[in-house]
Amino acid sequence: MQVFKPAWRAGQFRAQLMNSDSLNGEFLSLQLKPSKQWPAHTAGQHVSLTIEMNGRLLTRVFTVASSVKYFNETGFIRLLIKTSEQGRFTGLLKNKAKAGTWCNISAASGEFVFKNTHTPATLIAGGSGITPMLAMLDDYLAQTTKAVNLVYYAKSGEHQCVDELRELATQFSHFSFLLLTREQSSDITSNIKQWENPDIYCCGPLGFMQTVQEFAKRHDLNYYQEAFGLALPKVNNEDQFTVKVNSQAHIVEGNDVLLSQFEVKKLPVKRGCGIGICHQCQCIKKSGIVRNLKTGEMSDNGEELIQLCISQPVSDLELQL
Amino acid sequence: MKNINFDQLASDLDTIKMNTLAKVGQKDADYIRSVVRKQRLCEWSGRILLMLGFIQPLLWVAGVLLLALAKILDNMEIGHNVMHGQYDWMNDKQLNSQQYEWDIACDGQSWHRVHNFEHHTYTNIIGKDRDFGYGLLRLSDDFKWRFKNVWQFFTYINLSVLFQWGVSYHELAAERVFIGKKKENREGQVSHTTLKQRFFSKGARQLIKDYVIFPLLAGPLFLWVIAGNLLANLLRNLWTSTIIFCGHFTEDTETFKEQDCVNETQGQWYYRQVLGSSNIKGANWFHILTGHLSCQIEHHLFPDMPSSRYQEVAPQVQAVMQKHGIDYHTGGFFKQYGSVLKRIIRYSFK
Repeated sequence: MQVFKPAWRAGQFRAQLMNSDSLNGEFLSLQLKPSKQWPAHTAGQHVSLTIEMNGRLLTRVFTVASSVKYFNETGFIRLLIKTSEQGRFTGLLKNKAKAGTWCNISAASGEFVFKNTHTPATLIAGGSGITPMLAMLDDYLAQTTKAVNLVYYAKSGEHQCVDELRELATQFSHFSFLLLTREQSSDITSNIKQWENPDIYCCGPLGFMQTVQEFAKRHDLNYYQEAFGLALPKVNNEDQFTVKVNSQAHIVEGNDVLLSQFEVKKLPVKRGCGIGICHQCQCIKKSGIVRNLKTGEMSDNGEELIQLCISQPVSDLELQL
Repeated sequence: MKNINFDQLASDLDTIKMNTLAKVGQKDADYIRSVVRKQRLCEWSGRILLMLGFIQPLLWVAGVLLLALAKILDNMEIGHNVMHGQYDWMNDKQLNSQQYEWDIACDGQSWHRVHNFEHHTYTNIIGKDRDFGYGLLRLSDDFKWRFKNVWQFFTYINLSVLFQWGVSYHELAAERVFIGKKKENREGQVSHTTLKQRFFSKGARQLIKDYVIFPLLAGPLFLWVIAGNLLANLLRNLWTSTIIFCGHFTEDTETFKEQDCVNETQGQWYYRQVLGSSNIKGANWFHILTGHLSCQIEHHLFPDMPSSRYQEVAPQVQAVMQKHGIDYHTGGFFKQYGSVLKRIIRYSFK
């Protein structure tokens, strides 16, 4: 089957990479054309992108940084991806992402979408947290007459798609935006006009969002956020992690392999050889990082198969047994 | 055991493993996918040619051979290796050890459980590895001689002819499931009912596929197709059983006692794997048709290394064994197979 339809995989949508552009600040913009069956997203949602790299199918989650309007007009979606040399996925992406490459995407999901067009809104983005905002602005500005403000923090010279934002601001007089760096304005909440009672939408690094959330709580404002990225795991054996197994949460210790801890908790695991040979305890890890005790290697953050008997948790995990 | 530096042995072999696994990538993914493509091509062209036998019987013969080839590729190079988890790193939903189901009577998941665990962890330990002689053949003095061993050569021939059913029945530990024999040191993780159900449902599926559905699809050529499928299955059975017997039952392969694996170190485990297995020399196509079981020693040392790498590591492993003075059993196909037959006959008698 894959001879005729490259990247055809059951349960996944195909997409072809039409164009890839390197942008300022190590960002990469990918233009994807999803297959006809792909159900359109809602602005602000994310998809998981699967690309074969060096023989491995690697999966990562990215927000769709383009609007539904754009998708309906052109049939394309855009992903804005911050690449990093050390990144196991994004590091290879630049070379791999050539026009014509086939890949897979999931249906879009996520709750971070515009909730209410009858109140003013303030959008606060940090770094690549701008991606859902770009999609939302393009879709919702035409549907509301209330003031919409965007406060966009990034490192100097790394603000993305500024031209697009400018164009939106000329087109819609109720939209305005501020481009800031942390050096210029260290208090990220100082530009929120809380007296206008706006809904707050925030997307950025964890600490960044915490600050904004506390502010919103203090002023009794509606607050919505989207978490992304993951702090690099500290390897400290005394740490505890939350493991979601078939959508039930369990606490595990970082100093032991998952299999024996699951057995104590009476989860439905299969014990085989216990030393990483027989693959009977293998299960699907949806997200999170484990260390393979046989090779000492850290896993990726995305979906893959792991052997429980030799996997030590290094971050919070989501598994399917 | 001989005076061998087991820690050094373990670290030498680990080095080979690490260096090789580090190289695994696109090449290996492309390789296994290309085998899958060829297998599909053989299977479909074989099944179509079977139906063209009425034009020219030679087409039917070609069809049988192609279908047998497809089944061999599916069982050996793809099925066996994928179900060992050798290609799990690709994260491909079709080519991983949890999903793959092969074109053979034995249920994939039952096999996965018994073979990967019992056979690969306790290789050639009498009393733990039931694959040694399959409970049918006496292949060493560890077993008491019984009268039925006199005709075990014919038992062996029968086993070869019906090999897919033998495997299916054996991996299920059927004598325990059906007749209720018990072993004390083993606890079933899967209930007998489930096992039985899987045995029958997979077996029935295979029978219906090969001897009902495809023949019916052929309409008036019903018998041509039935005969072709039967013959293709037979060829596959003979081939796989022959290769598998060469892997563990040549005259040189050694057996172990249960106490040998108590507190066994990694090095001792490696040592046991090498002595309990034997290789067959041959050309690349031969290795592929055996599913790289011709590199049985390497497969037992590194069961989850992609099979595409076994030919590459074999000389390295052999060099390490030479350095440590450990026997490395290898030889041409006829030498090894002759040796297996001799062993079967030799242990027919006290």
